[in-house]
Amino acid sequence: MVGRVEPLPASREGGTRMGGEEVTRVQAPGKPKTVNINMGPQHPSTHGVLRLKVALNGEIVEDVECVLGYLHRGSEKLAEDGTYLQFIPYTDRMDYLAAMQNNMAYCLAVETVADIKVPEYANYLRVIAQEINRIASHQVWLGTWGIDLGALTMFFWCLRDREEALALLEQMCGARLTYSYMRFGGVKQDVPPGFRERALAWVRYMRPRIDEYESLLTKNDIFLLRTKGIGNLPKHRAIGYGVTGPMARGSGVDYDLRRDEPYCNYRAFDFDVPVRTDGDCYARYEVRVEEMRQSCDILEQALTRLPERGPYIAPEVGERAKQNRLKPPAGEVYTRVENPRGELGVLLVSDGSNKPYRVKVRPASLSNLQPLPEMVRGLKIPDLVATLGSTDITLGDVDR
Amino acid sequence: MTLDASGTGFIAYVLAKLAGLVGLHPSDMTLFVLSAIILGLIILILVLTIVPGFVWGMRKIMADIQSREGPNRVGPFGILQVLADGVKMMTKEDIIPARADRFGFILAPFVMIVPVLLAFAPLPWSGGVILSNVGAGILFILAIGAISPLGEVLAGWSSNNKYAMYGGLRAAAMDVSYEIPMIISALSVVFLAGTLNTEGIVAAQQPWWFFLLQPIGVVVFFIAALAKIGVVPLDLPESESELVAGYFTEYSGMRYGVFMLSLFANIFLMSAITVTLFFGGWGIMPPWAVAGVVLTFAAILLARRKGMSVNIAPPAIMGTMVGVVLAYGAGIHGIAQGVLASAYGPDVAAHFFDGTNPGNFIATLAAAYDFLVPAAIVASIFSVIVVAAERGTRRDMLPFPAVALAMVILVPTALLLLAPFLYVGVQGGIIVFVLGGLKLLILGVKPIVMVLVLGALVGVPLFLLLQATNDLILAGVLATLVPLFVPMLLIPITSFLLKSLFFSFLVFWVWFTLPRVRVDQFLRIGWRTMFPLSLLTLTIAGVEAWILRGGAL
Amino acid sequence: MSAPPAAAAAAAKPSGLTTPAPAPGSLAERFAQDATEHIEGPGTQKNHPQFVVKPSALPQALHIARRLGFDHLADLTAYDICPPGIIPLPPGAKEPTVVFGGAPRIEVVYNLFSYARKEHLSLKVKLGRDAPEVGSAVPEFPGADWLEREVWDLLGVRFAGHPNLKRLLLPDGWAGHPLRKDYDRAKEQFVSLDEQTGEDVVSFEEGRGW
Repeated sequence: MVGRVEPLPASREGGTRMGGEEVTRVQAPGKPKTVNINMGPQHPSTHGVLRLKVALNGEIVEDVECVLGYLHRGSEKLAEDGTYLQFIPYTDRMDYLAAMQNNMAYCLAVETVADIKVPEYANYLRVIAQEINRIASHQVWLGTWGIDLGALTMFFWCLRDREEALALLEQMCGARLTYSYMRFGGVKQDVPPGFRERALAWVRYMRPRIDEYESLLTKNDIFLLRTKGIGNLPKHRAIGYGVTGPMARGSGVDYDLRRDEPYCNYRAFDFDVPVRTDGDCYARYEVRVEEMRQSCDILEQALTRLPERGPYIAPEVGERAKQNRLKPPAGEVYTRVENPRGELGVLLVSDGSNKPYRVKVRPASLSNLQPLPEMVRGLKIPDLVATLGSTDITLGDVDR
Repeated sequence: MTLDASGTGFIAYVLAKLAGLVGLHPSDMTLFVLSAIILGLIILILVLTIVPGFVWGMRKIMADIQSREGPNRVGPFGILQVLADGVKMMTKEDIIPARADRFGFILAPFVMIVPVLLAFAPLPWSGGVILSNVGAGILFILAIGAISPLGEVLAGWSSNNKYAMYGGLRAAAMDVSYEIPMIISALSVVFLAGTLNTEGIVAAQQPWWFFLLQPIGVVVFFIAALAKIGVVPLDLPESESELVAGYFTEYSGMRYGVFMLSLFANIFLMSAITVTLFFGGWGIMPPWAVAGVVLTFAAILLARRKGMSVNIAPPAIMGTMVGVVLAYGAGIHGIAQGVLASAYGPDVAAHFFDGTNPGNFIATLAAAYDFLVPAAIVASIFSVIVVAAERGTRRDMLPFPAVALAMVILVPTALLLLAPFLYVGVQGGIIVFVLGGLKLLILGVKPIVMVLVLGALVGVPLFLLLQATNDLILAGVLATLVPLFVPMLLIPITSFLLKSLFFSFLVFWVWFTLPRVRVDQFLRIGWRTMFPLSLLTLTIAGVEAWILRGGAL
Repeated sequence: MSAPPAAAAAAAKPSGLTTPAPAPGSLAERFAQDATEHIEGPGTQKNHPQFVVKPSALPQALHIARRLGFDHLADLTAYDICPPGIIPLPPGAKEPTVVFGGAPRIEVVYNLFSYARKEHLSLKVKLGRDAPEVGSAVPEFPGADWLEREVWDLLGVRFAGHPNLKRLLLPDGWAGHPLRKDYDRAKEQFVSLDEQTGEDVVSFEEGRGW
């Protein structure tokens, strides 16, 4: 049924809290067998400030309750204060590993409500930026998941190669993490000369690196033992929970917004959408690794076809201060883009003024995290860590 | 008295000679006590330099595996980083949780470290170089080593923290799973050696190292050793991504440092025990083993350099080993002597092939040459087969057999022609090696060449002097006076150290490559796989011992 | 702050807030036929067909939609509409707009999607601002659990039949619902930790928490 979690009992007498986790005297005989442990908000493998109240019977996870909000910054309320343009930096800080997609989702919503046409050149730049960011985001996921599984080296290999991705994004927009690159009707600035060659070189460098990542994990027996059949999420449950993105595709939901509901000019690119039907950690891993390859394909196509020069922003909107004066007509839209984690939707309500009336960001991570208790019930503690890692949540995205 | 390459006897001999120079004639007892103290100091210094060197080496190896530089700020190559970390840990606040069991909390680190240090006592570093020659040495090591999991449980329980408690319980659960296969596989070695004494076990391995007779046993023992050390994939009591830091979650400052110290001392200890039980202890590597290791590494390195999948390594190793052993049996002896004689004259050649000189490194090297050639041919044929199998996908691998052939023939030839220089060079190098710890292993070829050149520059005059006097006993005294020749004493120790360091490197390699096993999976492996295998290897050992002793029991 | 009543009356008929009619033969059109007795009228979403559903009939409407094939509840959210001059707003709050006419209300928006037909459908219910309550979507879409908790947390909409309706992002005991237009941000709240129960404690007193 519904992922209902009974509220865990408060810690027993003598319990105290130290450094974020609950400490209790060893249980006297005769008391119930369940041990309650707080994983997080400060724990090595909760990927941020997620708090899990775990009920354990020995090593077996009996129940999990997620406690959210430790990174809640009220971005949606802040959106109502500033102008449309002023909200873009806040979107960077939601899913901070995929700021480009967050920019994109928000700009797409504003462009939809204001009927702005984006020039082709700007669309190419947007696709390039997003796909570089997608690979970088998957690299962080793979690396941190490696740490969750005890394969420490994965993290360094991934971050080693991500460095160049960040350098490329820095060339595009001047920042390495919080890009604020997209503007209504285009992007902030043109790419510098030599960018195309550097990016193409990186794509060519990345392909063998992805094989290298796989050589460390895919055929490793311990890795297979730890991931195959662990954290199962059947297709109908995935759909019911609103799970999207690589996680849904690992459960057999053959859907990718880039292919099936193309925004920017994704229609122009030829790429596959990897789908696995097993719905376990390994399937999600396979999907994401294959997605990195597909992103390389898209990047290669986009970089070779990128026109020499063109308008990088819609002339009717203009740049800089003109962006800040944007006043879309009143209206309500729901748009969505494919974030590395899944469907990133924006419900934007405009009242005709220069400030958004309501911005609701539909984060992929929130819905992807929701089936966690159902996925891990009855498994062991290490499986809980592996499954949580395989959902690829960003707490900035969950809490906003 | 001939020159004994190692042991208390040699030290006592040198002491007696030195005392004689100043007109003293100490009693045998005094000599024995003095030499024992000197030996103890040597080993203490070795252990004390090994652990920080280990941490540094581990971090460098880890960094290399992870495409990083590792520590490089404090001191040259970051070698003082360990010292800085030590100072940091000593000066940090020492926190004892308010609700912890104070007595157990304070006691636990010592319960961890003391057994590890004690287990070094019956470890034979060389013939006669042993802190305490316990009759049932191996039993002592295993028994005292079995205490340290108690420390983990105690730390976990006394911390009054659920994560620590889980770590302690995991340690207890794991302990019963790996300790039994470990002891049984060690027992199979005892069957073969017919003694519990560690020196006796090493001595019993003179012709055949036990890993050849006990291939299953060594694998079981090493996996159990990994579990005992507690590194990934078997660091379940600690598993930082699940239990924060497991049983030492609540420890800080130097108490935490003691856990780290015991971890690294344990890595070296388990490697040393593996070497003692299965890899001939301090015995100088039989030439075929040298050749096998060299060829294997050459094959792996070449394969990797050529971008070949490393999965060919196991068959390549097997093939190389088979080839080397076969070639050893064939024993074409004259070639090396002939080459050496043509290069340096028959006297030199005869001197180097003097079998009565146990410390003669060149004799070993030259003997190795006898079968390197056929071994190289066998290995090359094998690699041709491997490459042919891979050819469909790996066209760039075609030059591999040629390169392999050239390397395995040319390198030993070059080594042999340079032998006299290498002789002194290597000895000079060993000093630098002992001083520089693991540096050579990690930094690769260039420093080794530098060390050899350096050693040769210092060593050639001494070598000439040695040739002129032609008096090995005097040379031994000279060697003691001129510390350059101390390595003559240290050759067996160096062999032991090198082998142990190799296994420590293996531990690090596994540590930074594999993911972590789940706890119930490991328990299942321990009971359903390792335990039956250890019984199997014990049975095999019984049969082998029966055969070796000519049917007598 | 308060607009003249005449202006409010003029804004009663908003402009630009229209939704596309469902395409012929689409699932949305079939929904309009099947759920016709539950629908109050067209909604305001610009890029997907949207229907305003009677609050009492929302669970039935969701059931019909899901049966028709709208299996993915992409988003569930709400927004607060305060036409000018009716609700006193705290100082510094955003000026109320004249575009949204009518009574002060909270509109809960459900964005549905059909994986099989790749079609969107949006539903909307309009609730009064005082103690708004609507049936829960959890029986139809388990994923609505946290989304509804978030709406309750930030906008104060109760969902009848929700299995565990408590705050999602803010600590339990927080006063007010921040995404309401009349939420006073100037009044700081301080959160601390109860050492005994491990639960969050919220207080208006400075220094008690952070």
